[in-house]
Amino acid sequence: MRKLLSFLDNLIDRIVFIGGHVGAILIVIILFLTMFEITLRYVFNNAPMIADEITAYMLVAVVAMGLAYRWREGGHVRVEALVSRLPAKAQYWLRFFTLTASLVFTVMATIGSFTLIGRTIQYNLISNSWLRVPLIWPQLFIPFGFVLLSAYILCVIGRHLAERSEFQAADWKGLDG
Amino acid sequence: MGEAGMGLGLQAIIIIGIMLFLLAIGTEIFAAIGAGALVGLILFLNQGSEHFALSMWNWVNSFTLTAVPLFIFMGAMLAHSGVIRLLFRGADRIISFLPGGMAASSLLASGVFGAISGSSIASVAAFGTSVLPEMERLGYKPRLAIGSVVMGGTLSVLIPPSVILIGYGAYMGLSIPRLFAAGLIPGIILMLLYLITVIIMATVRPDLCPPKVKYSFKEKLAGFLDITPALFILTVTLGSIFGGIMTPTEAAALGGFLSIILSLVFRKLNLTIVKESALTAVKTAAMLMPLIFIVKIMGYVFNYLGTTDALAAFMASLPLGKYGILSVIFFIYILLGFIMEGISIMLLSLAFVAPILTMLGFNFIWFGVIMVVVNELGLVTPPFGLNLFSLHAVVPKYSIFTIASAAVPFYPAVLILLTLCVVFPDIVLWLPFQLY
Repeated sequence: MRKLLSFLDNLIDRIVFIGGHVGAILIVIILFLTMFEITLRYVFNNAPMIADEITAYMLVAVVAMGLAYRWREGGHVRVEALVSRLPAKAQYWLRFFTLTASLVFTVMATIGSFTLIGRTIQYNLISNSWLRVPLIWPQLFIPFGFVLLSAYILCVIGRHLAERSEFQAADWKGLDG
Repeated sequence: MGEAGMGLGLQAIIIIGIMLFLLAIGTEIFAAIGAGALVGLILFLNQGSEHFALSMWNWVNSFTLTAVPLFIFMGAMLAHSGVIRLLFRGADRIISFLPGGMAASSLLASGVFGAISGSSIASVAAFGTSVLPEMERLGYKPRLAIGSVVMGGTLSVLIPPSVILIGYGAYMGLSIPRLFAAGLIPGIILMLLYLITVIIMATVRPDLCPPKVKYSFKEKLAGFLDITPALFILTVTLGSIFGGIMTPTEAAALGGFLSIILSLVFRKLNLTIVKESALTAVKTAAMLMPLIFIVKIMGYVFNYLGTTDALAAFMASLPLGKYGILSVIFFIYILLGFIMEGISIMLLSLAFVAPILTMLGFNFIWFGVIMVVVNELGLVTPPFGLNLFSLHAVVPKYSIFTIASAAVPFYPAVLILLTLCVVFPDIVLWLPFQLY
């Protein structure tokens, strides 16, 4: 069982890591796609006007995949001023509570994102531009991002519980995870 | 449970209470706000959590916001390219005649680099690793050296392109070029006020810095050549925005592209630098965007419940006058600055503050710039000032307290700018209304 959990933990960590790097690749693609359109507009006076739409979809993908990656690489911003003054044991249980609260929120957001996808499929929504992109494709990144974040928070909770005896106050740095 | 079953005030107290409790015990800010909004949606509005995904789709699916990661990428690339060292060397040669020499040069270079990168943290980290050791080596006392580096970083949130102003503009539906133009003159004034602070410090306490270095005319001329690459990128990006040639996102892409070319010219371009710069951009986007779309839902919940209108009406009814209420808002911002970071405070408060400002008749472009100036103090105020942590991370031998103390002599400069902008709003509004 412990081996399986460790395997899952490593697997999710790896997916989050790759997700962040895919986001990085998308940033470079956004840059060059925008540059491509600028060049076509000013040099050849003929821009296809697709960069606005495609890069915005890519930003959704970057943010979705970056949610868990940001957590992995130092965490999202949080207030530490009060908690850091508490005894280590209290900090340990409060951290467990805050991680669980975060997990509840992200799971609910995940459920909501699947509802959104369901509606997009039901009404067969497509973009208003001439590209007529079926919105299901860019929107799929949203549940993917929330699922990944929920899975990663679950891993963090697991690690937190496993490190119970070794818990140190140093875990509470305002900008880390 | 509907509105009839529970008073409006109690509903708001429950939501805010949950949010503040979760914030206080160290929950990640986006999750704490999200949990509060979730309770409001499910318990009081009888609506589902689909709103989170919908809000993410509606607000992040934005070409305007794409400018944020692109500007961060550009700044990170330039930080790696060696442009900062050149910029600093050039600024040092040009204004070496001023008392405080290198500290003044550091501020000038920070202002220019901050303008290019749009990121305060990137600016402080870059100058903390490249300029600060050089100043220490030449005999500058930490008080002056640290102060100039950590405060120089705050210029980047005001001088365009500013990431925080893009977030504010996207949230409020304002023109980003107009916001950028609004931040330009106050940014330049603040840089001058910081320079005056350095000059006063160096004159009153000559022991804070070594004797002035004299450069020949030829060396000074070479200084202008040193700052040319940075000024070129700055002119191209800002010029294309203010000239109406490009959108901020297109200008950011062009700046990012030029930063790659510049790294190539300086023989610093490699895959690792591009990867690290792009990952920095991913992390920034993943920090800022969730705050925007989750705070939007919080605003939706309070708007639906009527809380924002009730609060705005209450504030407007206070016998404090227009500027008295504005002072109360500033005071709350400064208090929040002790425990939270600037962008979070700004986005979290807008749901409540925007209706009050509308009722009082304040201009949103003006308020955006004013709020950024107030947030600058938060960047260098313990325990949550991001610039303090950013500098401490790259120069760990200095404690947060030491860094925060070095920033204190610069506080009056920020307060003077704030007063000037309130008393003479045209400092903020003149340029945007001339350009657009």
